[in-house]
Amino acid sequence: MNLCNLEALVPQYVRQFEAYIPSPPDDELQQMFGCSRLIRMNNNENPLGPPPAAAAFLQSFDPALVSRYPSGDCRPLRARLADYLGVTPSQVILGNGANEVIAFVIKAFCQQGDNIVTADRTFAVYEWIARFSGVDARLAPLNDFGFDEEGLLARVDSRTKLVFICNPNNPTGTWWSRDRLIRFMERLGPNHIVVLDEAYAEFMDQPDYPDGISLLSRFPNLIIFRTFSKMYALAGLRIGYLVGTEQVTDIVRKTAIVYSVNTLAQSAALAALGDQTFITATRSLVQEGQQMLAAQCAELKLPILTSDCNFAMIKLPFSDTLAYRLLMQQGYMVRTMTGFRFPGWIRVSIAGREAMQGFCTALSRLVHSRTDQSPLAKVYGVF
Amino acid sequence: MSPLRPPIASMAGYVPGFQPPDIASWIKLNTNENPYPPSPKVKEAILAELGDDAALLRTYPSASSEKLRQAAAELYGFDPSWIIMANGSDEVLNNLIRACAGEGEEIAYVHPSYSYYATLAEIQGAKVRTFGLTEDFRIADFPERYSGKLFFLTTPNSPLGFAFPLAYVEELATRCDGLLVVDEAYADFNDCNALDLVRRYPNVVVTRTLSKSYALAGMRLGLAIARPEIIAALDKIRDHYNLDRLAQAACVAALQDQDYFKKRCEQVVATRQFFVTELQSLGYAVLESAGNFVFASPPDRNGRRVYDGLYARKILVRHFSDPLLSHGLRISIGTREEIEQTLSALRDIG
Ligand SMILES: Cc1ncc(COP(=O)(O)O)c(C=O)c1O
Ligand SMILES: Cc1ncc(COP(=O)(O)O)c(C=O)c1O
Repeated sequence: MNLCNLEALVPQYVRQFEAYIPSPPDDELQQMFGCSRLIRMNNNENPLGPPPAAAAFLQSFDPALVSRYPSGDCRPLRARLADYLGVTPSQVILGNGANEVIAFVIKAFCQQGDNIVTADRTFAVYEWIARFSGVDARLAPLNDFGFDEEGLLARVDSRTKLVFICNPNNPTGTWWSRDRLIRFMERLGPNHIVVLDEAYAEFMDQPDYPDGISLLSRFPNLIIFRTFSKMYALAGLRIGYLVGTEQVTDIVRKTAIVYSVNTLAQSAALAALGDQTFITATRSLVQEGQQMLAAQCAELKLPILTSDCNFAMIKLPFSDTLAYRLLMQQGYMVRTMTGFRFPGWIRVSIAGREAMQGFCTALSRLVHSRTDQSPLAKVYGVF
Repeated sequence: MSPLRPPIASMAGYVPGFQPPDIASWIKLNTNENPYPPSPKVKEAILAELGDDAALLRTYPSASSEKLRQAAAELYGFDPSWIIMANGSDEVLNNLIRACAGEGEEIAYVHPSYSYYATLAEIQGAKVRTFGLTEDFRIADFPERYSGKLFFLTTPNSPLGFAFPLAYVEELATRCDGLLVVDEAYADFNDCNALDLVRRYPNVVVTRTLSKSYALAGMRLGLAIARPEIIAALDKIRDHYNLDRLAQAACVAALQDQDYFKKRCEQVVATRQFFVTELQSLGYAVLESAGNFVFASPPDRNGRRVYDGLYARKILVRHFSDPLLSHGLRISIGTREEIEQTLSALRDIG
């Protein structure tokens, strides 16, 4: 019998790559931590649920529709997006989540020996995909929690194909202004592609926050990522996209997997796009949640990074994994940040008002139990 | 601008097949879809996942697709650790190349078969080798030992419809140093499959899709079955959230409604037999098919002429300009009525 030698079969850069371990389902977690309900504040999801038009479309979908292949290149949705964004349909490429379009871009521009440059504490998937594709990821430390222009430029060389800028940055919520972005683009020059990940753009309500798409005519080496997972509350449907100049998208289209966005996701996204009432409602919910958190952290004297985004980072005077465990016992799931090179920090997604109130109470209880000799500390006797 | 990866700049890329904009008024027999809707349980499961207000869609789906793996494991008789679920079998075909073939390393497939393997390999920067077919549908000039990383074997073959005998697939498994990927997109319409070879040969991977026999092309669902070490390698490089919530719900419901599935497969096979007989009586040369389509050539061996005639009557079939195939047409099996209308159009066209 033929022995299949995986060592020989699988390239080293794939073998070295560690698998991502997803969190267990809610019921298992509840059992593990002994909480009767679980509020997930770990994935930056929109608490409002999808815009009504998307929900209405899905609830009355015709099952005969799904025995046919979807539009392979999302034609109707691209046409609508192009109209909405003020670009041509061929400037838009959709994927099974923005996650998938990251791979399209890396495959389009990088071969082994090339590198990408990004920050050390940003959305980790750029780095992961680069690494398991045999492409080096060079990471510039954040400066004052933001992307550092100098650090990035210092790492760029002739083999740098892509620079990923997460704007606003997940997890810190920091962002580059229009002037800052323009200055960076000018200093970098035209010989590298800059990917501006605007997954949270629709939350931003700041006059000098740059709309990357409006800069395409000036900087044809820009690519912009957007997603329906965050503002449009369709994370469960997996749909994201990129926008670039035609010169760039004509290349990226070659490495895009066709038919990767299913029929229902395409139609739901089309229905959801541009619902201003929904966007306004989400923004005010997020702002309110951020204010609540900020007030609570001020009271507890905890450093917090807030922004217009639907998440905030909080620094604790003790370990984040401990905080995770104790918050889980109270039914709140946050993201520990040690694994993201922020030891002692947690990232909290903004949830609905009631959940935010509950979380603030839980946080305050946690902090007091750690710092006072209150009776609660004895209840949580483990520390 | 210069930062291109040279091989990508020169590759052609895949262009999705032409679809007339008023497709709903056509008889669509060009992409081997199922002419029937999926099991009614699929719609129920999707509506249940949506609930009153579709609120769950705001949250990311299960990253491990545990329920689907479980359902597939039960159906095919494997432990779930032998199964990976995919966003269409295309995704797992892509990840097989990503996981196994580094830049410049070789993969191979049979021509004619599913040419998307070549596109996927080019995206990864792998080299592509093709093997032809002999007159009696064996692989021409297949080496005693094939040392490429992956060999993709489509059986039943599309577009020709024949299936390789299992003993031959087994022999190929022993001749491959890398993985033998048996693409069984159409196996549910055939009377045998290579699942047993997965148990017996560590280098055999079987891929399946729910696009054809389960009538779920629109939901993008596929899977691969292989040894746990291979599955683990594929698992770590896939997108974490590769299957959306509605696709996951649809998949479990479809796999569990085997009565509906079998009934529909039998219907398709019966219509296929009827179609083959009728085509032959029209003087067409028809290859015996184990899929949900047939490859048939008109008496004048001018596939393009007949394609145009059908097109003018709003019947869309598949014609390949490749000289090996241009004499015929690949026609997907529609409903009995659609096939009868196609036959009468063919009589008309002459
Ligand atoms: C910055 C950033 N980019 C991209 C994504 C991926 O989005 P999607 O759900 O569309 O794959 C996320 C998701 O968390 C994100 O935070
Ligand atoms: C042989 C073969 N493999 C794979 C596929 C792709 O299947 P899926 O829809 O699961 O991506 C097809 C689709 O036509 C096919 O013919």
